[in-house]
Amino acid sequence: MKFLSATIACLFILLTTGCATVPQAKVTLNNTFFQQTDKVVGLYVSNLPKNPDTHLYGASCLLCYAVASTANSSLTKHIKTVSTDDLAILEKELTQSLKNEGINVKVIKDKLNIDELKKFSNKDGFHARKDYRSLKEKLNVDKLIVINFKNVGVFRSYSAYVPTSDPMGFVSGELYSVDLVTNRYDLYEPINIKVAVKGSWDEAPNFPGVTTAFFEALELSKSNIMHIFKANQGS
Amino acid sequence: MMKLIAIILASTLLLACTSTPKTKDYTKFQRNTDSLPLENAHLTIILKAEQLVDFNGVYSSDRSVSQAGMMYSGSAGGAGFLAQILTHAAVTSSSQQSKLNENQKKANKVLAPFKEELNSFRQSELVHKNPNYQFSQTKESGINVETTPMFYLSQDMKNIVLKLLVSVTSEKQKKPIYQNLVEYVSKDVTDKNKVDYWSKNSSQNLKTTSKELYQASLQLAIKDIKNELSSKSSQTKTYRYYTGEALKIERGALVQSNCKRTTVRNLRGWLISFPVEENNQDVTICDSQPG
Repeated sequence: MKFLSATIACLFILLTTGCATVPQAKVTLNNTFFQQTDKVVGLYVSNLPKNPDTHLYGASCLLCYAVASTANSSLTKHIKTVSTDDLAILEKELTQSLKNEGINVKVIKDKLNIDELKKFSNKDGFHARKDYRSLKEKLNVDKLIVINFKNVGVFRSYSAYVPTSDPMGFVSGELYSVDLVTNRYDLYEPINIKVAVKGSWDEAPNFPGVTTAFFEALELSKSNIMHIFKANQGS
Repeated sequence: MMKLIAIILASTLLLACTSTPKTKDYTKFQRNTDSLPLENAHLTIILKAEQLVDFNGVYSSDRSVSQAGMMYSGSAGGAGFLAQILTHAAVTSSSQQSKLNENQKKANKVLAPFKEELNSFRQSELVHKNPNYQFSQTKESGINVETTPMFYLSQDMKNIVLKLLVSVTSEKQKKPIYQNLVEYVSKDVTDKNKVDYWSKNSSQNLKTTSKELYQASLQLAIKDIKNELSSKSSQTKTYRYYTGEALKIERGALVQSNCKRTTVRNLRGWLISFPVEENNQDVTICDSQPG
């Protein structure tokens, strides 16, 4: 009986550790990226929602989530009416900035199904986990910069039923550049911007404090992304 | 049905327990001045002259706390369950308030080199002469403009931000006819040794800058009270400026701008005035507005 329990415990540990994925580590952009002016660099912005939303973390049981969702319903209703256009212009601004550096940029407008790409075997942390090499011919580019937004809107953390933070302006996602010949990352940078509201946040129905924090998060994420490509240019 | 009642009850109670407490640098914008002829009105500015000037360090308003999961007892019944949630909410709310207090306390350490001077810096030193208004410590007949100035030194000591609470009352009405907050950011100090700059000659620069900020923000508030500040555009946009090294972002509609300074009305209706960056290409006209 003891042996059976030990076997089950070992199997459980093996299965659960096997399922866990190590988060992709940061890869810093090297200055050589800006010296390869003969390369065509694709720029693809994905999953940018037209309207933001509230994102509640930590309300982990169904009833907790229902309570949290109800408590924030008027904020959710309001934030969904705000536009993300300020973030949409990032594509244009980054294209111009890269062009100014002599880089041949091609904006990719068609939807790319990145999730459907094959897995890539080299897991040394410097290579992408999906095989992007097939996109080289399809897109006719040598490198691909991807700005992938995961959450845009308002963040609020919970411990079960109870909020542990005030609502905050929130943008999360990832920014990366892949060499489509080697499938190696030139750059990998997670995006995680949270901006606290100055003063009181509970100002229904228009929530001006939260709305300002949201726009601040948009501006900071844009500014950080532009800075990543600028900071390395002179180094 | 019971679940639905529990959700509604818990959400209502939690909403009441977990809203941010109003800080001293907060007010709700309101204007009800249409019935009063304010254009040529002589105003009385109320300032508690003997009160010490309220000086603070610029602090972070993030009061989020990380908390381990809470175990609720299932045998406590419906009322017991709600009581557990409320206790949890009260404990969390208290931790959040402690964090905010700690942020403010930590931020105020920047004032240490000027402590002695600030302990004798009274609001009477902010009083100045102007043909359109007079100062008083108590309310007088006519239109009274109650002002509460709060100064914030940036953590790198590059500049001072004044947050001025303004509340206007008339003898005819008990409730304020105008209420707002004006935030006025000083221009950057370029001297290398900031402590020396602010503290030399018994903190003369600190006091002079504070006085100039108070005067300029009061004049801006009066223009708004008299409805002389019409927005140049109703379109709101995002404005960037710096308090010291820290990038500040404000969303609002442009009220006035020149080569030195931009003033916007933010989404709360507050007036935010900040210096223009030297390399800003958007501004061309320069007038005599204080920098």
